[in-house]
Amino acid sequence: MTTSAPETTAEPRRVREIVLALETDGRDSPAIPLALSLARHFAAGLVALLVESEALRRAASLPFCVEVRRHSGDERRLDPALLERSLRQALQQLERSLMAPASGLRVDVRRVCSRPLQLLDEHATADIVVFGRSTVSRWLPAERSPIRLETAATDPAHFDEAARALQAHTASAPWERLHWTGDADVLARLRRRRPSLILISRRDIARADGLQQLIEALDEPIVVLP
Amino acid sequence: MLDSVNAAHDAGAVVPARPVAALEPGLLCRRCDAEALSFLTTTDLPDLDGTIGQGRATNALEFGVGMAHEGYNLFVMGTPGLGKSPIARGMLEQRAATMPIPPDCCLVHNFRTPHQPIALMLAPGTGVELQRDMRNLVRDILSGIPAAFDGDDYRTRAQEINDEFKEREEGLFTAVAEEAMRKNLMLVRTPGGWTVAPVRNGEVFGPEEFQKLSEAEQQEIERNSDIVRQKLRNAVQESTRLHREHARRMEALNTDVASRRVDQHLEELRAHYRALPEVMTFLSEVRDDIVDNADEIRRFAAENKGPPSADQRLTPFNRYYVNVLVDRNGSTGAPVIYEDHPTYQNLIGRIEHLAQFGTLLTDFTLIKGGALLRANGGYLILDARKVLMQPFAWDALKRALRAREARIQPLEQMLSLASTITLEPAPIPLDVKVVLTGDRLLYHLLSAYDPDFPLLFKVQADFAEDFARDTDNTRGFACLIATLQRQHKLRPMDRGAVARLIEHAARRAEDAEKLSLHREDLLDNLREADWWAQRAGSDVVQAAHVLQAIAAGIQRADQLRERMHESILRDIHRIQTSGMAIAQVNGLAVVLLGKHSFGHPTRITATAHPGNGKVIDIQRESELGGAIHSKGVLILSAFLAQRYAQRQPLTLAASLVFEQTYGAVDGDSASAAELCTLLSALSGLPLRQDLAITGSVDQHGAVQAIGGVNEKIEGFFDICKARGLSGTQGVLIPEANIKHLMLRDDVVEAARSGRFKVYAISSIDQAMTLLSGTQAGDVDAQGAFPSDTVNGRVQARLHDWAGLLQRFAHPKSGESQNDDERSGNDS
Repeated sequence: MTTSAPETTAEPRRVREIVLALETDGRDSPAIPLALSLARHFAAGLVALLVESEALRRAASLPFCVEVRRHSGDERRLDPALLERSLRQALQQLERSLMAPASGLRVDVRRVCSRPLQLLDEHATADIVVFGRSTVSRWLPAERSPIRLETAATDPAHFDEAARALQAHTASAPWERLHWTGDADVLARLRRRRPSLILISRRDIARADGLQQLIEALDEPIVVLP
Repeated sequence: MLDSVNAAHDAGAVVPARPVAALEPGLLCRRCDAEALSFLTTTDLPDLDGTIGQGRATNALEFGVGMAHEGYNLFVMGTPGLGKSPIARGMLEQRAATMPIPPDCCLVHNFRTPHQPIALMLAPGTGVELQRDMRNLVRDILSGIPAAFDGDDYRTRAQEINDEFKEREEGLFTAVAEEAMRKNLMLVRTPGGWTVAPVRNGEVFGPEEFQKLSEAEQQEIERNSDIVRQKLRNAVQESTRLHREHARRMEALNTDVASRRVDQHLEELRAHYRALPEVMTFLSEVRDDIVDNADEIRRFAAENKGPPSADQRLTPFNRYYVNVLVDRNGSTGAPVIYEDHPTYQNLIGRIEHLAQFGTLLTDFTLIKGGALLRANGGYLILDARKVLMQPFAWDALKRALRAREARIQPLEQMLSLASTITLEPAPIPLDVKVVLTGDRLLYHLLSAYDPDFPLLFKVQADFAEDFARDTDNTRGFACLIATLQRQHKLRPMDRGAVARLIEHAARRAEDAEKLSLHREDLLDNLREADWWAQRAGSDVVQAAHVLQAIAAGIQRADQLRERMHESILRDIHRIQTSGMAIAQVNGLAVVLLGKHSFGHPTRITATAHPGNGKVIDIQRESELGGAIHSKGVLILSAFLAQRYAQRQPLTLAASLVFEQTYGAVDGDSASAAELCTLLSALSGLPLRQDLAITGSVDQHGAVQAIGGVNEKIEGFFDICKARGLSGTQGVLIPEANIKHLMLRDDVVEAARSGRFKVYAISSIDQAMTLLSGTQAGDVDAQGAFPSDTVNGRVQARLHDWAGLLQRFAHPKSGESQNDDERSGNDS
């Protein structure tokens, strides 16, 4: 889906694209409004990606593959054709859900088969990548603080513009700062803190598999700045 | 004199005619001697203690207000202006002040059946207090409930629950994931859930790799996959159950938090109202409702930033409010309510609606109480005529009194005129005594035609129109004048003025021996006399001012009389005031124009000829005569037959008419005049036209009392005076009316100087003697009258006519028989 960009007289931009990476079950992810806000703030294009994993494709090809439905526990046979149909439906739903809120933005919605770290590499020119998973767990409190995940070398001012862009989503609680002290430690602390979103700079990601762990283990949207 | 007349009536005999002299001037008006009054001005007089002349009514009022039993409501009757309402109200207020203050009447929401609000009867002043407390409670909970849910305590407890359930849920899936890992499997997310896939070296098998495995390995993978999938499914189902349990735990937490906060706010109210079980029940239901609707309260508070404003009539929190229908705060006794506009709604109450987006909405706070509720525990005064004129009001009043409860039911609902959802407030117990005021006719009509009326209004307080004019009562009347003068802040009156007012009260009573009790008329006289005194610059109202006031009042209403008299004086209406005429007499009539009445003469004529005994009343034949007038004519016919047709048929055909009348005539006060006219026609004797006559006659010729005697005399006097008083002119009135004479000063003065006369007669013979100047004649033992008398001439004329008729009917035998009879009579 592509719509024309709005006419703007904004200041010279550094950010040109917002990449929204959603897992196949993340069509109603809270990451979507964050990505939209960022796109509007930076007058950037939005690339919405429905990320399929290779593992899922392989699993669906196995003769005994059965899907257990998330809410009912019901089972159904899963094969590549059914998976393909489900993914197409998921993509259509994502397009529909973006149609109204993304009015006036340049939006590109497509499916990719990749991994988060690959995405970062594939979208090297993209300025901001937003990772989202499924709906936030109902167990989480309504008001949670957003967290800026920093290292000793992080320039705090680096986050300011993005923080302003996300103000509408963070107004009810102040930003918290968390130092990257190690993958397992950070993950444990983040699980305890239950932030509303995590803001991190690509420069601060020392180990790629650390980010992979965060994405797989946490429900919260993760915004990766250039 | 009257006694002898009555004795004659009893015997059925002919009343003997006696000479009649003109009445002494002293009998024409009973003066009130100002000098005999024991005060100089009304300032010297005390206020009237209670009422005067209304003993019967006040006793009935005392009895009625004291009787607590069902149905002893009162009907206070009498003509308008007697002061029924102020007197009744005064007595009721006096008694009400000694009675306990009835409770406040409130309505509150019925949480079980919302369309049937509950009535609370609370100690005086408590209703408003509770109303205020409940408004404050709403204000408090609108800030308190959101605060409780925003507090750290709630957040911590809620998060503890969330953490617990998240941990349990994660535990479920972690256990499945670990089990899968142990079996070299992994959980893979799908668009709609999960699936289980075999892994090797951290990568999911592809189908080619799977095919390369031995059959045993494949079967083991499938078996393990089934086991893990089964556990995954169990985990999902357990997760769903956890969600339900979580919802219950959160609900319990919310209830607990809301309850604590509401209890905190209600604690003080419960302590304050613990002696009132109904209020405690209400508070308990309010508490439960607030707890159940804590989410709604939080939403409202978030959206509206505060409690509903005072001008917001319908709010979600109205159900916690109190509608005070009757507030007794500040009362000093039982209520005495006068409802001036007793419509159904004003009596019973009403349910108002508010239009919102084209829909009519209501709730119990829009219910208004009526006069019955305001008077509950006390007295309600109503004008009976007004109640009866208002649609459905009378029935509603009776229904409430019968059931002893007020049921506020919208009229449109009763009549099925509206189909909007409305309310059915619980009936409110009623303990009220209703006092209806009205005239006697209304009372008797209701008694006759409404079977409920005698059962519901058992006490009649009948207000007298007048009372005896004796020394004590005259002084009491003077005190009444003084009281009214002070109450209405008028100038004091000197005793001359009071004396004139007393005389005027007798005149209004149409009885020299009575005084009118019409307070309103008296008050009008006082006010108007005060105005004349003010105009004259006098600090004290004097007799002249009273007379001016009375004369001015008459003058304002007197145009029609002037026109009629002018018409007579210009000979347009033919009225003779001198000379004599056969078969013509001056009768007297009274015209009533509201409070004003006047008299005027009217010419009555008769014709007679042989016939079958029938007297034609032309007024009746032309449908201009009333029933009583017709009755009078029939009576005089009977008199003629009784007196002159004992030995022969009444061979008379006659007609009577009020000449130059163009409207209806009623009453029998002209029957004496009509009889005289007829006797003149029969006897051929002319009647004096300088006299007028009024009075009714009975079948024996006795003259009976009539009404409006003063106005009638004055009406003829005015005509005679305008033409010049001759000294022979006068009026014949029934002897029984002497005691009613309260004539104007100028009439009395004319009588005193011999220029005008008033004769009191008791029989038609006296009237004929005076009018014809011929003796009426007494009957002898054979039933014959002397031939040179009125009766003799009439008898002879009728005898002639009888013979004439007989000769016409039987030309030969009739002649001889007639001759025989004539010879017998002569003998």
